[in-house]
Amino acid sequence: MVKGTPKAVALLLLAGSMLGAESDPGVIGEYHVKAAFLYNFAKYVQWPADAPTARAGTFVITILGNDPFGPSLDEILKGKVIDRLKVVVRRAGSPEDLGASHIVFISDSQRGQLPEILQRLEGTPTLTVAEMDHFAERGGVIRFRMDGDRVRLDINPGAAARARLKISSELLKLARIVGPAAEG
Amino acid sequence: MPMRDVSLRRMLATTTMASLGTALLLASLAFVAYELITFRGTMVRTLSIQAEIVARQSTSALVFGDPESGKATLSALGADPHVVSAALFGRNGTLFASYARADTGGAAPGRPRSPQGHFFERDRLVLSRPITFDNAPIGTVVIESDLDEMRSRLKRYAVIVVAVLIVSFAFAYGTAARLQRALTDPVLHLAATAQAVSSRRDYTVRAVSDARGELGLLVRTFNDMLDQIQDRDAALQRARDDLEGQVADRTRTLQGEIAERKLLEDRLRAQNTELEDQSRRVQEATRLKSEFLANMSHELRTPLNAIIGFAELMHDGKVGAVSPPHKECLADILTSSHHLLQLINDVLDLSKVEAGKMEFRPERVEVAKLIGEVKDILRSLSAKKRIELAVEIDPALGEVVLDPGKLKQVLYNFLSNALKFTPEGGRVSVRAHLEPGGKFRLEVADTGVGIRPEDLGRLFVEFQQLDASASKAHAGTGLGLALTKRIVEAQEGTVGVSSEVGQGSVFHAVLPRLARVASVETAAALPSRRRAGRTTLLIIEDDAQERAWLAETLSSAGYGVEVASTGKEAIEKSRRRAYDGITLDLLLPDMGGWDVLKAIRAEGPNQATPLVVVTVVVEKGVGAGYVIHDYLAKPVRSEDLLASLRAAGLRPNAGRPVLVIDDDPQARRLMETMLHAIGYPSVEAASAEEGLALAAREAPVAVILDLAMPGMDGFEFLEHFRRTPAGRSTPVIVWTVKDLTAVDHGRLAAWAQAVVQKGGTQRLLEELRTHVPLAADEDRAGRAAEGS
Repeated sequence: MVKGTPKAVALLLLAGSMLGAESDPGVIGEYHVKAAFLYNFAKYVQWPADAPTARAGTFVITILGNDPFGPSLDEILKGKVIDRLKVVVRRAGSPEDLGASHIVFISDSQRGQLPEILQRLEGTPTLTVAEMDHFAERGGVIRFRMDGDRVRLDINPGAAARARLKISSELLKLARIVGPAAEG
Repeated sequence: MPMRDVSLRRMLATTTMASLGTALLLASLAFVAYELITFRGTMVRTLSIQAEIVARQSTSALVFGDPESGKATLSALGADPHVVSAALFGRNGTLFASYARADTGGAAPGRPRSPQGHFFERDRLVLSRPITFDNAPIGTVVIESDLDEMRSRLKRYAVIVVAVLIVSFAFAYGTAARLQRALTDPVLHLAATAQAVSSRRDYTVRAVSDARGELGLLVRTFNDMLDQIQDRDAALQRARDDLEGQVADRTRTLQGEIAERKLLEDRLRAQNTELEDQSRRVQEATRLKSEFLANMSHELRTPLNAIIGFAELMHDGKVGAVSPPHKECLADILTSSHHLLQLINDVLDLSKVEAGKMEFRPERVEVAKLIGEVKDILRSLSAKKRIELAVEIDPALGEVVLDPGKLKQVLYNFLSNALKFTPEGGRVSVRAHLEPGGKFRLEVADTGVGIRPEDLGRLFVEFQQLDASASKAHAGTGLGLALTKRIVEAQEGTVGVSSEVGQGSVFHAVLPRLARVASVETAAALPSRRRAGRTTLLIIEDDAQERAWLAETLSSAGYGVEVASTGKEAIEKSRRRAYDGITLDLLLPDMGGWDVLKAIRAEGPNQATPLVVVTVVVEKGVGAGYVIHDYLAKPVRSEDLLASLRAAGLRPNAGRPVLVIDDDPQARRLMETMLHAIGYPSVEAASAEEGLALAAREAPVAVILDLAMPGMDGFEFLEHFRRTPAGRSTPVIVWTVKDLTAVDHGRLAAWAQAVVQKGGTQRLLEELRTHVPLAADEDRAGRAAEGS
C-alpha cells in the first residue's frame, strides 16, 4: 500500500495534465484525434483544381456508414475554411448516397461493400480514409492504424495518384507507405 | 617618481608609449567589441535560420503527434557541432521531442520563456521560434548553442591585439627613440654645456648643434649669450688689468707725492711753529704798544686836562681877578698846553692810522658849518696876523656824508698850516666844490712863502719839516700834513699840493662825497637817546577843566607838560616824541583808554614810558599785560599825583645838582669850580658805584661821566643807570680822555647825550647848556607849555 501510493498519484497527475492536450489521442479519445486528422489531411493533400465540389464553394467531408466520431467531428470542423472553401460534413448511409466529396471516411460498417465503394469512387479526386485492415493495400488512400494508443497512418501513394491527389512529403514521411507504387 | 623629476628623455619616451598604448588599446577594444557584437548577431541569425527550418519540418510531426519524426528532424542539428541541445514543445509547453549533443549527457533545454526570442547565458545562446500550423501556434522549437566559437574567436582576437601592441610598441619605440634623439640630444647637450660653463666658469665652451627651428635658435641664442659673456669677461679682465696697472702707477706716484708732501709738511710745520712764535711775539709787541699808547694818552691827557681847565678858568677870571701880565702868561700856558695836547693827539692818531685802527664814523655833514667851526677855532690866529680868510662853497656840492671829526682835522691841518706860513696881511681861502666821480674837493690856498719844488715830495712825510728855522718860527708838530694824508687816504681819498715860491701854495684833499656808512649801529633801540632836558609829561584828558588842573599842578611842580584831548591826538603825539611820563584818562570821546594804551605800547618811542592811569573808572584787571605804573581814581589830590610820579622815577628839574663822576680828583675839582662859576650846584663821585648811589639819592639834573675808571667803568655805569627810574631820562655827557672805538661810539650814542674829549672845558660847557637849560630857560619853557 505504502509502496504503491506515489505511483498512483503520479499517474493521476500525469493523466490530469494531459487532459487539455488535443493531440494526445490516448487521453482525448481516439476518434477525436482521428477527426482532427481528417481535417489536417486537407492541409497536406492537394486536390486537383477541377474537383467538382470546389465549384460549389464547399469542402465536403462525407462519413459513409456509421459515424464513429460522435460530436467530435462537427465540433472540430465547425466554421473551418480550407482553401477558401467552407467545410461541410455530410453523412451517407450507403454508397448510393455518396455525392462529390473531397474526403470520404468509410466506416467499418461498410466493410462488405468496400470494393463497390472503391469502384464507385475510382477516378474521382476523392481522398478515401478508413480504419479497416489492409484498407490501403486494397485500394484506399489512407488508413488509420492504431499502434498501441497512438494513431498511425498507412498511405497508398498509388491510390492517391489515381485519384489525382498530391500528398505532401511531410505527411508521407509520417506514414507507412503501402501498395505498389508502380500500380499508381 | 613624479614626472618633473624624470629626465627629459624618459619623459618623452613615457609620454609617447603611454599615448600610443592607450590609443592602440582603445582601438583594439573597440574592434573586438564590434567583432563580438557582430558575431553574436551572426550567431543569432544562423541559429534562428536553423530553428526556422526545424520548425517547418517539425510541423507535421506535431500536427500528427509523431515525436519520432520530430526527433529525427532535430537530430539533423547534430551537423552543427555548436548546437548543444534542441527541443520541440507542444502548444502547452509539453516536451514533444528533444535532441542533445552526445557530450552533454542528454539534457534537453528547459521550457522556453517566450515562443520567440533569444538570450545569451554564461556559455550559451538559447533561441526559440514558434511553430505554426493553419495560422495558429502549435508549439515551439528551442535550440541551445554553445559559445565556443565566440570564445575561440575572442582568444584569437586577444592574441592579435597583443601581437599588434607588441609590434606597434616596438616599432614606435624605435621611431620615437630616433625622433626623440633629434629633440633631446640638442637639449641635453645644451644642458651639459650650461652645466660645464656654470661649474668651470669657462665661457669659451660652446654648444654644437645642427638642429634647425626653435632648438637651433635656442642653441644659437645660448652661444650668442656665451659670446657676450665672454666678451664682457674679457673686457672686464682687461679693464681690471688696466685698473690694477693704473692703481699701481698711481700708488707709486702717490707714495712719492706723499713722501714729498710729508717732507714739505714737516718743513711747513717747522716754519709755522716759527711763524706762530713770531706772530705771538709780534702780537704781544703790538698789544704792548697799543696798551702803552692808550696809557700814554690817558696818563698824559689827564693832567693836561686839569692844566688846561684851570688855566682857562683863571684866564677867564672865574677864580678871581687876574692882572693883564698874568693873563698873558695864562694865555701862553693855554697855547702851549693846547699844542701839547694836539701833539699827543696827532701822535696817537698817526699810530692808529698806521695800525689800521683808525675808525671812521660817517654822518651827514654840513660843509659850510664845519668850515665855520674850524674857522672859529683858528680865528684868534688869523686875527692876530690880520689874515683875510675867505670861504667859497660850490652851491652844487649837495649832500656830503663823511666822518665830521676827521674832516675837521684835515681842514684844521691845512688851514692852520696856511695861516702859519702866510705873512701878516695875507690871504687864505677855503674852497669846497664838486669833483667828478662822486667826490668833492677841499682846497686851502694861501699867499705864503711857497714851497720849493724839490721839497714838495717831503711835505707829507712824518717829522719832516722843511727847515729847522721854519719849525722854530712856526710852531708845529711836523705831523699835521702826514697825518692828514694818512687820514684822507684811509678814506679812499687823495691829498696834494701845488706851490710857487713866493707866490703861495694850494693844498687840496679829494674825498668821496658819500662815504660807506660803517656797519656799527648808532641809533640803538634802547629807550635812550632822547632830547633830555626838562622832565616832560603827556597829559591825556578830554575834560578841559581836568586837563587845565593837571597841567597847572604838574607845571607848578616843575614838570614840562604837553596835553592831548582825544585818543587820536594822544597816539599821534606819542609817536612823534618820547615823553618822560604819561597820564591817561580811560574815558575818552573817540576811543577806549585801553586801546590808546595798546597803541602807545605797540610802537613808537613811548613803549616803556612810565604811565599813570587817572580815571573815574578803575578796572585794574583790564590793563593786565601793559606796563602801568599806578592807578589814580578821580578826583585826584595833587600830593597823590606827584608822589605817584616820583615813585615812577619822574622828577622835575628845578634845584637838582649836576653829578660829576671822575676818578681824577683834579678833574672833579675843575668841574666843581667850573659848574659853581656858571651857577650849577654839583655833587662829585670818585667812582661809578658811588655815582650810582648819589644818582639815586640826588636825582641829578645831568651827569658828567668819565669812562676810564678803576672798578666799574663808565659804560657799566650807564648800563645800570639807564635802568633806574631816575636814570631813564637824565642827560649824560661823557667827558673822557679815552680813545673811543666805533663800538664805544655805538654804545654811547644809545646811552649818552654827548661825548666830549677832555682838554679844556669849553665844549663840555656848551653841551651842558644844550641839554640842561638854565633856570631862566626853564621858566620860559614852562610858560610855553602852559600856553599851549
